[in-house]
Amino acid sequence: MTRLDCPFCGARELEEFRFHKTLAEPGTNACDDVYLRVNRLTMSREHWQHAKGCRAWLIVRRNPSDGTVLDVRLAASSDALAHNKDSRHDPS
Amino acid sequence: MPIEIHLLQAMVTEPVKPLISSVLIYGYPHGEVYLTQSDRGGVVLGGALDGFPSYTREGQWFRLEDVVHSAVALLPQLASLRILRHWAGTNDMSMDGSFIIDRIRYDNVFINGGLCYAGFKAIPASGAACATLVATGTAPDLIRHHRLARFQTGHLLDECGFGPFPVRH
Repeated sequence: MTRLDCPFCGARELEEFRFHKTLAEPGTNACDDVYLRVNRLTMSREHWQHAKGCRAWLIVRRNPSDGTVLDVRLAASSDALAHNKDSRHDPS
Repeated sequence: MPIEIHLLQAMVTEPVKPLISSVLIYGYPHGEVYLTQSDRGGVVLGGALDGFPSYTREGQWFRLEDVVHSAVALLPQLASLRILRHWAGTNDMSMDGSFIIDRIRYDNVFINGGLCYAGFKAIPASGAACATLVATGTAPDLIRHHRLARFQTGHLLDECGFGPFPVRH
């Protein structure tokens, strides 16, 4: 893994991006959302930012065992938001 | 588990005559380098984490460059040395930068981990403390606060104001 495909800028070197956090599993409570990591071997959903480029926030799915990037989406796109909403804890 | 796996790179140069008699650490806001010289003469270099969770043990080139740039800025004579070996090791980074030694909810199952970069240095003391916990059932004072439940109760240790982002610790 040496590059990420930014939806705006195209393939850019990894050093332009900043890793922020692994996204929590669906159905976790607020505390676990902040502090727990599931550390799956083959798939990780993460927030990254193209910090030295267009500064867009991205949702990256990748395989942390072999470094393959599965897909990169804008965090603000509607399907990504819907996916996030599923994974949040619903207090009601 | 409140632990993330990050990569930390290290490298060794070709052997040279005695040059450094201690460990030099040079930190700045966007990186750091530490270097020392082994008994065989090779200069051992290391720096910051790669910056994202990975199990690959493949270090990122930009981090290697950061470390080498910083080392040459600190000791310009290193610029003429060649790197012989280079590797990336796995670091079990906890959410507050402090280790976790505790029993977990199953009987006679213990966790001793999240030692971050300090595993090599801290293993003898943490092993002794963990052995006491296993043998007596009570945690010695040294590890009394290093509970697994501290993340739920809000009693984080040495958190440095970086929040639950292990890569920044």
